[in-house]
Amino acid sequence: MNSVSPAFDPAHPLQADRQLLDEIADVMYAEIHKTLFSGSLPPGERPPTERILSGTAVSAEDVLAEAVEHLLCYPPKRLRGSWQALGFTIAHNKAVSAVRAAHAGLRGTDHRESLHLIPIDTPNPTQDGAGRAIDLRLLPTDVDDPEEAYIKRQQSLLLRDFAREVLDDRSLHVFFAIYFEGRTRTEIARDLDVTPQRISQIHHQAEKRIRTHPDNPLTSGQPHQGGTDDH
Amino acid sequence: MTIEYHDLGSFQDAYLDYLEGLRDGPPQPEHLPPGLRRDAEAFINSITAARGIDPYASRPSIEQLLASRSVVADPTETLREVLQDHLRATVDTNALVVPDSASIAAELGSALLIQARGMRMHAVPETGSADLGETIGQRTEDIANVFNAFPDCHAVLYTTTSEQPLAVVLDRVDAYDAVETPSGQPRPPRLPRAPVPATFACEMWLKNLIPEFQPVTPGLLGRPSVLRDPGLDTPHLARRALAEVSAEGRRARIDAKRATWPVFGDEQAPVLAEILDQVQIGSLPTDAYESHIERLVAQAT
Repeated sequence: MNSVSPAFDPAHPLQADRQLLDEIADVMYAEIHKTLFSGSLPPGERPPTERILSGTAVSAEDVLAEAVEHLLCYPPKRLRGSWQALGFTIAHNKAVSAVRAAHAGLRGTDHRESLHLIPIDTPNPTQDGAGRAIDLRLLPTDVDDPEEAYIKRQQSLLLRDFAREVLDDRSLHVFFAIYFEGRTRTEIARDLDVTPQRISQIHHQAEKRIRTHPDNPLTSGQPHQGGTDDH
Repeated sequence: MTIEYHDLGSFQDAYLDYLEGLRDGPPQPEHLPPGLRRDAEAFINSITAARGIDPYASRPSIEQLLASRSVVADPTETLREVLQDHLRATVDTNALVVPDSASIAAELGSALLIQARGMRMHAVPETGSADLGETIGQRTEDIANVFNAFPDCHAVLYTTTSEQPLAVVLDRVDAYDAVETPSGQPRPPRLPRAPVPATFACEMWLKNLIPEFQPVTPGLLGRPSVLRDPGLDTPHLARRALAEVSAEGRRARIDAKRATWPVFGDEQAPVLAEILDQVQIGSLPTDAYESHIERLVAQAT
């Protein structure tokens, strides 16, 4: 049996600051989702709808559990930078290694023995659930500035939460489908039984409503300069 | 730079066309009037950063996440490692301590199986730093069940799982109520000895019970000089053996035995001593042995 990861330290600073830990875990979860299921998708491709790594039983929640465990076992004395940046880096690295291990048919991390084998009847283990080739070169392996990357993910979550507050259900559906799920306007139009042009209208209205809202957390404190975007 | 888009909406549509693979390159914010460029950049940044995040996913709570990792934080896992490392260093380099899968599956009390020097010991853990002297009364049945379920179980290590675990090695008899004197009343079992560090308890039990056998050197049995015991008084041993045979014959209830066995005595001792000597130096083949025995019987009768 391999070595065991250290037990959680109940005196860990993040255990004491649960609000900060929750905030970091939210961003880690978002980063894991993004790395597992989209990486750096080229134009014309979008994230898979099935949120499990193809050929495995590995989900974002599995990877997050490993990442949070490692974060809480990290000795405070060794911390360089912030807990936010460290959490982001751990989440990103865990997600990248999960994708790579899934691609190789073996999901072995440094302390897990369980094997997640690609089923033998998988036609091509280098394809995702939709039959598209998995291009591992698209996986960003390093995070240049984890602090900045953390803020970007956090802003995405703020945008998501703010959209929920200010948009009606129909607008929210379109907004999420375009911004987060990467779906095409034609697909969304088919789902809602409207024209793609109508989807564009709904998207523009939703986007404008969020952008110009006085309580927008991403623009609060900054004077809005745009104004001639009528369409 | 040419202004291609006069409103943000058309720029966004063009950018979505690009993301959907409908145009080759992305539109540039510079293609917008200056007053809209910052919003365009913000739009690009937002949609790029958000793409791939599941907006409907609900993150499990920290407690749920950590609970799913409970196997890793299992204190018996730490105990397993500590015991195995210690036993390998002190008792048996091949010592093995593994989760007691059979016991766990059967919901018995044993969590670990310790194998060293050919012995099998099951470990029944007590949570935290419990006082084993106090808790053994409630765990008697669990311990007895382990002994009953595993006939090859040589002992049970009753141990705490604290940072510095204390333990006692129990035998089968330690797991049952005992009638104590002078009261004559059955009493629940008590610890046979004081708890000591679990590693030490295992080590001492194994060392005291099972001697460390050295590996047999090939050809050793073919070197009689190594085996011969120079202090062995074979004539004396032969006389003692024949005297016992004779005495038993005199006490025998079977007539034939009573008639024949007492005839052996000191007279046959030299022949028997010769047999013993030759056995010791490994020079007594089967036919020679039979010949000696026939000569001994013939001499007696």
